[in-house]
Amino acid sequence: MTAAELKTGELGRVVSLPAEYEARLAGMGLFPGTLFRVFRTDRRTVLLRTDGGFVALGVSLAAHITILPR
Amino acid sequence: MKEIALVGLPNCGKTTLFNALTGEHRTTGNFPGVTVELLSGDITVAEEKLTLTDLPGIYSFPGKTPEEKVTENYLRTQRPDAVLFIADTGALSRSLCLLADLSALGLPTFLACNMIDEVSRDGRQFDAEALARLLRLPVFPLSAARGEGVEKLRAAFSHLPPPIRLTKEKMPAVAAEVLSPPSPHPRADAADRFLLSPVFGIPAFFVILFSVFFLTYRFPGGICADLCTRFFAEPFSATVGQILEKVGCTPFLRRLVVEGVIGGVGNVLCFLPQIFLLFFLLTALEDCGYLSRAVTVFDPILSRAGLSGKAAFPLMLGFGCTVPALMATRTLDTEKERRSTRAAVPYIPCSARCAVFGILSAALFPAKAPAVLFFLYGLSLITAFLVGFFSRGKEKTPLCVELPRWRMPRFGNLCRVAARRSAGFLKKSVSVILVASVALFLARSFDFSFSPVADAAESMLGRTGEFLSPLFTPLGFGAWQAVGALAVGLTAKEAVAGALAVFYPLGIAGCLPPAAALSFLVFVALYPPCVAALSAYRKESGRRFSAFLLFLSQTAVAYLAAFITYRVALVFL
Repeated sequence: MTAAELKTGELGRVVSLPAEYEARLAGMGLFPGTLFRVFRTDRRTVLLRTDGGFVALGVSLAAHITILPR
Repeated sequence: MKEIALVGLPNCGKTTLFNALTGEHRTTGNFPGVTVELLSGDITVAEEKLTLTDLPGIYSFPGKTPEEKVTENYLRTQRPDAVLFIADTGALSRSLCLLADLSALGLPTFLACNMIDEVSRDGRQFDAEALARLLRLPVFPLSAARGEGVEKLRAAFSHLPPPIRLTKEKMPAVAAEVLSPPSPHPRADAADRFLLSPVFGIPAFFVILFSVFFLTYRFPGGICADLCTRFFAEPFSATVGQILEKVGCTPFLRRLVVEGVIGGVGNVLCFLPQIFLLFFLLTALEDCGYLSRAVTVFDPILSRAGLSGKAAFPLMLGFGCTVPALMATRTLDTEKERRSTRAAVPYIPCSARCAVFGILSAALFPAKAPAVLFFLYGLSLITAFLVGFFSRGKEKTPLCVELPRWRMPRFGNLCRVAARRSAGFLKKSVSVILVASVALFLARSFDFSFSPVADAAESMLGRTGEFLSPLFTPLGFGAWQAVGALAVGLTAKEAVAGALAVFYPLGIAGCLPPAAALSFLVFVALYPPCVAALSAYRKESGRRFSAFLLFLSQTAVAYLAAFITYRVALVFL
């Protein structure tokens, strides 16, 4: 499952990130193992909240973040 | 002399700590990408001089964006004696992951855990001693903004710690061991739900922007400018004229000082209270953390124009000044994005253009000034959107931004930043506009054989304007005064209004018929930015003729838009 498929309020844990964005997303607090909550989502944007920050992602990028729903 | 480099994630307070350590006042802000160049400052510790270098924030090492490359290249090639790694304590796990990547360089490292006051306020427990023990490096909990813990860190610079080597995979567990989880923030969440909403986000942005302009140009900014004109500029101008007459100055010299210098520079200086207020309010928006929210809200719209949401930073900075806005395009991820954003930025009306819009629309269209202002802003933004659209690349970079925590801006910092930016404006006014005003006055008072003329139309400026006027006659404003004012505006946009005031001593009102006046304003809204912005454009694009091409293309766009406006306005006005 991907981060783009979750709905607002749902929880997920990051399994893997697209290689090109791995380092950048890790710098923003999203790395394999990170637990996050979907703060809000719509057709274009996904807002993720982790315990260390708040990240806004385009849906096309979120669709490449593999997660485990919680 | 030992050199210590300040490294950390964007927006973790590096420049604030740099300022606290060195006593300097460099620009800070609550959004990623404020620092895009190296900043250096010297301090003395135990009678030894040290150089501190503040590097642009990085999300990853090795870096990806140009400002991340600046940091990476510096660390790899300059090899500073030590690294001062600044961590945002509230977001410790990701800071430690970056620290682990950096540890591969094998440099002695100090770890400053910044914003410790915010962590305490949130009721979170942080164990700095345990962190130092686990990482085997010196850890300094501090609050750079409040100056807490800064002296202890400074004193520690006298002895460099041994190099470290950390394992990235272990860092989240280390962070979880030394820092308790955050507590919920219902008020901040409610604000985010509203301001990031696809329905309310954009109207909220425009309400905020309108409030900034209302406070700047109406109340209290407009009133301050009026008071400044009434009780300072006009009496000052009259008093100087009387003094010069009493001391026996020639009428020519009196006119040069009163009409040329005070008339040109003084008119623009009366806008200083408004400029200060504008910078104050824009800095408040930066510092509270709203700008990153605006980026997220605008991403869907900007992506239709081929720009990424991150382009909203430079585009919004463009409302203040085009030069820093062009420099901020460095924070974008790809060259294509940077190029299309650079092309769009010069069409965003800067504060100088805003001031000129305000003065000229009030003078030329007293009954319809708000509608004319709205039209000019709308036209500028639509043109910027279209330029971005036509210069867009094929590949689109997805939105990927960090939203900082909401913070209450510090009044002292807002005043300092606004004062520094206003001082820059003042310096420009006094240097460029003073020279332009005096040169204009002389060009209006002498002919090409340097003989004084009674009729300004016979002067150098009158003759040159007359020579160029056939070019502008199809746009409705072939008068040499209007053409001369446009030429002067290339030095600084503020000078357009000043030049018209010098050319029409009896007042700007009614100097052009309505259709021609609207066409003139459209040309002013879209024609090339000032010389400083053209120079910044050339520097950022890195190509020799880029500024010249921008000049030509923007003149063509302005000409076409003014021509259409004039023809349509002739029918309706």
